[in-house]
Amino acid sequence: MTAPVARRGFTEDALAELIERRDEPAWMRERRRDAWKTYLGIPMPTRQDEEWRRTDLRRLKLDEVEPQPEADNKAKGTLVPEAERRENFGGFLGLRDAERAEYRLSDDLAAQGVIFTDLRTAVREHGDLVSQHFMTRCVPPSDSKFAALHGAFWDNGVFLYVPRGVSVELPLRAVTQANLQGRSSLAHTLIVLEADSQAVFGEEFISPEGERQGFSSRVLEIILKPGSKLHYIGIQRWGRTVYDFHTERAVLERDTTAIVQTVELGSALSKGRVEARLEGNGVNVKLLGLYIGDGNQHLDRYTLQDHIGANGVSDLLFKGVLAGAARSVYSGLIKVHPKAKGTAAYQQNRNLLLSRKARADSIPNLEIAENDIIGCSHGATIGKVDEEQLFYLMCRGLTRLEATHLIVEGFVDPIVEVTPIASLRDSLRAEIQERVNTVAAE
Amino acid sequence: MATVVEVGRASDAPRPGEAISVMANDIPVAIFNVNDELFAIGDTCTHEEYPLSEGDIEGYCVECALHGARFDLRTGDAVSLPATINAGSYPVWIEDDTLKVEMP
Repeated sequence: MTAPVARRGFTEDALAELIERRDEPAWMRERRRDAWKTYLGIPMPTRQDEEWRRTDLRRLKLDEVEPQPEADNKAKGTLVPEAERRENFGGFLGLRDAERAEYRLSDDLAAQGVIFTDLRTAVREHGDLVSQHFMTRCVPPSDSKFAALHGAFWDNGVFLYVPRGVSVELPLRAVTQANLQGRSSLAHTLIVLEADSQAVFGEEFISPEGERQGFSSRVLEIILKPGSKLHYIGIQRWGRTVYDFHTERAVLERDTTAIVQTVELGSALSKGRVEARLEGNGVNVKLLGLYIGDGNQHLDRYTLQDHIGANGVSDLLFKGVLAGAARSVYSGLIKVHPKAKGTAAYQQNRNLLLSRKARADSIPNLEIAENDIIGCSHGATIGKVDEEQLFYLMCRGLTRLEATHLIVEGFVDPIVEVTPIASLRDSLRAEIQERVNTVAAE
Repeated sequence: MATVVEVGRASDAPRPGEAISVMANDIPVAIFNVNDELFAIGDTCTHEEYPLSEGDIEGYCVECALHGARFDLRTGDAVSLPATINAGSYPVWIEDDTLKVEMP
């Protein structure tokens, strides 16, 4: 008997097969079908769309990737990163090719009603909660062509729910590993914190290097109810042949506090949105981003600080280090709605170019419809390593390369130093430094 | 080592005064027809990376639709600002009813 030919491309037949295989509740099946209809109704973005003007999709081969690959059962071993194996986590979730491969949650947290599990399990066992929040008010399928595709074909992900008043003291951690050689990953993270709760959560996305193009569509939905606090860090480490599209949005109700860190290290092309919607009054949010590119990587970020409620504070800092012929595009908007009195919003994008061919585009925007605000400011810089700084470091006996390393380390550290998990912070610091050392030497 | 890539049928070739965009070895290539002569250059403006196949042909030049940079179709040279870098130039011809491009 011959093995079935792997189905390629995101098609109606592929969706029907997925729905049949998954055995999900009726509401989820219906949502997938509706998302597919939405997907068909939205045209593929072109260079004539302002948001896509600087990102070339001609090499994307959506019809050549497997939309629902079978899990690769050959890979074994823990997914906990080596540097973090002594860390005391409140829970750990490891997904390998969209299958749950590793899972634990402390009894204490489970007893308090914390739900931290893979999304497929959550759909089955906590359907009421998931159906209320999954791609409804935060990132609906109508958000974009790729969000709609995600809504139809999402494969697995993380569901974190913290009940009212519960404080998750120990960090929670997840690793999604996927073989993306001619295959796809559509990972969804849904975080819901009820009133006056708090949590720290870090996740990463990894795939091995290879020759064939892969596809990733990630969606992160964060919903914080009044008074809750979240510190989130997401690290993307896809292989260099992966085309990655992601939408990360936080809906923040009254008096919430959030720190959202995103670190992009891999992929051939990564296009994403990172947004905070300050719906309630008194919200405080920090958006921190770091992207490092070399070779021919193309990293495109759109950010939005959407001030709807009053007395909101948003502080965005996105930094990029680019070498080789890498290109980054940053476009950020601070939007202040009428009646968002007392808003204080800051946006900075800083780019360091380590080679002649590296390139960064930075387009900050402000749209302010309320006069009674504390202030809104934005700034962008693009430049090479300061020769004067190099000179003074070399005067102290460092080589030019050593001096460059130090300067770049100082440049990226404001993003890395706030990483909430100590061992992750240290390993990230070391990894970024090694990467930068390699590209700075080229 | 140069490779010959088949990018379509002869009937896919652009008509005089027109251009098409093809992929050859994962590189976007624009093929132009000027008075029944075919020319192929990289289909990416070296200024802001917009497709040159969407530009306006004037003589043996194409003007990028985005910011007006002009490229010589015969050599790929940027002949006017804001572009300054050659877009790449590739031999193109029709043989045995097939449109072919030679890639480095």
